[in-house]
Amino acid sequence: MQTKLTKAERKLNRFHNHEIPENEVLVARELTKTYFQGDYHIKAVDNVFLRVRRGEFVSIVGTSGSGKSTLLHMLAGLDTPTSGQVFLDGYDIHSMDDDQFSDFRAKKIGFIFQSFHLLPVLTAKENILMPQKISGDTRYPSYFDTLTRMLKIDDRLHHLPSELSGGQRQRVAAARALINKPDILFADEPTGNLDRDSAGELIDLLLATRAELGQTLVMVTHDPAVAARADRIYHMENGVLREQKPE
Amino acid sequence: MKQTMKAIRYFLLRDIRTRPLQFLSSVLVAMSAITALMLMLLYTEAAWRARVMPDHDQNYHFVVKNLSYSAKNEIANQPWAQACYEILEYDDDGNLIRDDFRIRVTWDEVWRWGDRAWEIFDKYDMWDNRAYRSAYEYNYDYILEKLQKRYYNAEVVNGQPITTSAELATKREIVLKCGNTAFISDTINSYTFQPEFFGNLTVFGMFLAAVMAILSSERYKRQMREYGTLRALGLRRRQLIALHCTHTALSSVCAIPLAAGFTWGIVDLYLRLMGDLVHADPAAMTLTESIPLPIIGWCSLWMTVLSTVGSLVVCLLYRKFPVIVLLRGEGTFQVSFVSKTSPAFEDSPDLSVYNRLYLLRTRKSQIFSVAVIAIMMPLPLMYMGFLIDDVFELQYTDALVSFLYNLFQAIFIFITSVTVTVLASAGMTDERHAEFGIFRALGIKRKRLSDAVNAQSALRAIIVAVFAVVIFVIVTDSRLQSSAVTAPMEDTLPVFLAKCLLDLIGTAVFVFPSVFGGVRLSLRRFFRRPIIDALRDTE
Repeated sequence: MQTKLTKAERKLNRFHNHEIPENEVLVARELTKTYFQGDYHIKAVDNVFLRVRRGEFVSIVGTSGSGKSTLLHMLAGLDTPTSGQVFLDGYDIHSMDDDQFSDFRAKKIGFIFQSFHLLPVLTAKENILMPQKISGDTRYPSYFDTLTRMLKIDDRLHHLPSELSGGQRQRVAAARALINKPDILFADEPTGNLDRDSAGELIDLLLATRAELGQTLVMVTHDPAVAARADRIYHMENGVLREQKPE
Repeated sequence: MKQTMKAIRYFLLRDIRTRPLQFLSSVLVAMSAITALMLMLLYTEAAWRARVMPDHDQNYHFVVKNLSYSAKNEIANQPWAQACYEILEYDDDGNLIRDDFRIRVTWDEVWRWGDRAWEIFDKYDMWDNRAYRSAYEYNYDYILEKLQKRYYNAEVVNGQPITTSAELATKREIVLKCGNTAFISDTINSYTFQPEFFGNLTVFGMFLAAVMAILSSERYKRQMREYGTLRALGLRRRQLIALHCTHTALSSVCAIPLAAGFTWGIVDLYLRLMGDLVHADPAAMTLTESIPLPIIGWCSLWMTVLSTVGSLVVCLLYRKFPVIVLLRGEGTFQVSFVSKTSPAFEDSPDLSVYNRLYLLRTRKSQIFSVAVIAIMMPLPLMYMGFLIDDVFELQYTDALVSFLYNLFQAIFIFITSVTVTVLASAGMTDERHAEFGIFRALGIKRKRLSDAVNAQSALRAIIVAVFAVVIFVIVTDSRLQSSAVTAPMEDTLPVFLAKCLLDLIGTAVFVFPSVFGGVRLSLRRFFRRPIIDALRDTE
């Protein structure tokens, strides 16, 4: 029996592309980002096609300025493309209106930034719980304890971000990204500001939660060791994305 | 040390050269405050007013012909004579053909001096001039009643002969509103340096200090990274303070000649527009002829010092920042204390708790922003009050001049304070773009974010309004206490509360649009940017 859709769901359905296979959680088509500087224009991302399957770990590597972060921001809906489409879970995110995409983002997407982006006036615990306050999602009340124990930040929960080390801040940021159990997790050089040990621990943790929740992980990284742990590796150069064939 | 000062000077000049608009905005703000001050000085200077203002029912020019030198001297020395001029004309042979002596008086002053004034009027037969007696008689009771009612709540018996009314007034020890009350606009005076004048000067100073503190704070935030670099390169804390404050002091100093020029322009425009109304010689005047140079100098110095104090307060707020915090450009003085996770946060079902926590934990910053706007407010409020008074006066008397003056001052001061408040409000909100970016990245909707920010701004605006009224009441009270008014009317509690409510409404009318205008401007800017741009602000 088919359940009756709410008005919001019907509205959202308009952006659903049924041609996209269900197992492809992230699809990018002809994605381009151009920056204009006077008469010159620079293509930061040039006609990118990408398909990511559910539960897959994809890493994007490349030199500085190659456009990999810009691509990730567009894939996560944080930046708008000059042209092209991004489908998340079959929905065209750049065609949705702002409210629809905000709801979508709150529930389905997690993002870990290289520079943490923690709210300075909130303690670690408050930062981690913030996505739940935004989405009103209280489906996982005990997940907070599990997550903070796993991330080894349960003794730092009442500290402000300014009182935490880089590694601790990044783990808080990771906990915040994971607290709503998103379908897809984007990470922009999450280990960029961490030492080797902290970086290794964080990646272990992300892979563990991925395995546990069946999440998709798309990560931009400089670190070849981190990239090597991905199911697929893409290489970005001058805005062009190419899959790196396994050796 | 000498080398460091050289470096500071170099950095300062380079800063002004590369960011001229920033410097210019400080100069313009200082200029507007100093211009308003100079206009106030002109307005309180009776001689100037006597010369450029038309006659009305409170002020009058008499012309007495062919008086001896000693007679002229005697009249000129009367306390009720605001200003006196000799108009002498000679024929080609050098013979005197016209010897007019013009005397500008204020009715209130004449009444105050009662019999002593009558004596002089009798002695030099001034009663017959220009239907003076009838005008005087016509207005006497009306003005006496108005003044008594207004300031002393006294019972007035109308229809009595003039002398009787004056005697009654004396017996009841009711001193009519007069003397040094020019700024209250009922009368004008010749005495510049009175306690009330200093009170007014303080209000102007507070205004400039507050607006400069706002601009200075914005500048500090913008240049925090540069200051961090300078500190990392070895600049001492005090030297950094000196660098920052010198910028403000320099802009105030540059504003002084501009303000003088602007005031001259306004006076010139006034004479061109109102020249035909002016009964006295509409002779061209220079500013320094009306206000002596030392007074301009002292007042300008006072304003410069206070604007620098405003800037200094900002520097002191930031003084304990470690160099690394400056280098990162983090305005962390907003986090007031190390906090424990709030139980309210865990219990709260929604985001509203964030607003409460934010305000609580950024209280230092909030108190600063509230305080500067509240300190800035008495001046606009004062002129708004005068203007409202004048509007009511217009129904009964020809108070056009006072109205025009107050209208101009009010517009001038309002434009400056609204601009600065909008800038401050937008600046404070701009600072939070990265934070908003995080919220948006976490999936908050635009409307929800706007609502949260607006709720905080509304609370801030309410607090500003209340504080501004408190400061205004204190300042007004002390101003009245220090003025020459001998027996100010004691307000009953309901009257006092009603006045406070009116002040509060007046402040709200000013504060709310300015604060929300700034927030709206900033939010619009934020929503137009991709989220990632806002997030990059902190990188």
